[in-house]
Amino acid sequence: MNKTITCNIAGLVFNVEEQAYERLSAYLKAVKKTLTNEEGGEEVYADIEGRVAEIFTERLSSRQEVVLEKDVDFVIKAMGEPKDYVLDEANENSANAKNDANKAHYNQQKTEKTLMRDTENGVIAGVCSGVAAYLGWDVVFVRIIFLIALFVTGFGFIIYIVLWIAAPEAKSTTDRLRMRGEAINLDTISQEVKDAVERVEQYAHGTEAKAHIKKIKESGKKVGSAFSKIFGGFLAIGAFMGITLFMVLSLTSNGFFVDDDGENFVSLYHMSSIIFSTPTQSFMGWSGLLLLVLMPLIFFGIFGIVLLLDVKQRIMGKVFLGALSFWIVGVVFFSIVSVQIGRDFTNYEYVET
Amino acid sequence: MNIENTKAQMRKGILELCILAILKERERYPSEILEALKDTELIVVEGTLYPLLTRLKNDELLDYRWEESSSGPPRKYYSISEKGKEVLTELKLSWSILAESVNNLLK
Repeated sequence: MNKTITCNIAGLVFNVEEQAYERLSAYLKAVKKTLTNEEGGEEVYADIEGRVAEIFTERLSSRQEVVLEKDVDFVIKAMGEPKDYVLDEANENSANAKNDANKAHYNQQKTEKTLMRDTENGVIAGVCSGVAAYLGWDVVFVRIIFLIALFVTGFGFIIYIVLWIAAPEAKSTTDRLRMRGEAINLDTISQEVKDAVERVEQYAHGTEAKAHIKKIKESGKKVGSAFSKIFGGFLAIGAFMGITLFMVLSLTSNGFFVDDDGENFVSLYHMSSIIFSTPTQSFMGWSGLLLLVLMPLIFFGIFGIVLLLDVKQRIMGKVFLGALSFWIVGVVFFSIVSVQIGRDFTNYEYVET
Repeated sequence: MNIENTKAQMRKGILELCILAILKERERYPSEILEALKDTELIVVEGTLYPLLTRLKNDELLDYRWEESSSGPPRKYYSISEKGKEVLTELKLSWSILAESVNNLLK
């Protein structure tokens, strides 16, 4: 037993099976979208709807009969994919109009790219994802660059906030296409993605939508998947080597620092008594340093594992914010201690001279 | 090279000529035009036809009128205009020249 939907096609009423309705509506929407840029598009669309209604009438023996998926398939097969509705330059009949029309067509295909925030694929505000779409890079790349810029210089944080404010959110399908600089017409692949995105938007609450989202994500991920896995592997290994190295350097007695005699190796920990004057300072200095160095390493480690195992990247948002807040605490501690020590040294120097 | 694409381009180029020629006989509505075109293998899907008809109409090469239909919504009947006839004569000429020279080339 299936639900039927009553709908009006070119002024005629049809009973359409739910699944058939969804397909038909997605198809007609795609056609409409394709035609929006074409001359006389609305009229053409009305003609097409009329023809669809006619085909249905011909295929159904009575008005009471329900339009099934196979009828919709028949219509789509007979009418063709949305891209078939686009007349291209080969059809321009007037020689004068040809050049202009060609140019117009060309411009249309290369819709100007706009920097927007891709909140749908984003982790925090979709800035990286939007930048990736704008530059045509893999989003993983952009995220890494941002993270490095953030942890190494802190500059990434400012850029991120500025872009968050400056770049508008890509809300509609058209926005998303503009974000990627794709034309509203064009080949089947973009058409596929677009249709899918539209379906998702339309049935965002249904289970079918969830299945669709999953499908899109999977197909999208497949491309970058191999790359991300390899990259994730290296990242994870690198991060854990970094953590180990740092631990060895700072905590064990086999540290890399050479003492005054140039013979014994000491670790940072052993040197701490020389640098820090009070226990509080020592505590703050140490925890600051630990947070400062370990947080990015731990974060990169987790990020690497997430990439490697292909788990949902979304959780990285929380991990990132957590790591970032600890890191900022580290920066604050470290700055305080640095200033204090710096002052100590200034005083010392002042006394000397 | 995409052979299918090239074929499509070839077909599309002469489609306008064919539509004008078909409509010179008598007025027809899109499905009938399609029927006539299908034998020539010029058109693969119906979708291509509608934008083309609208454009030819907007260029005043075609006229149209509405007619009620027993099986479905009203139909648009297209007929060729005076201007369309002139264009058809011109296109016919260039087609025969083109066809001849291409055929010679392919021999």
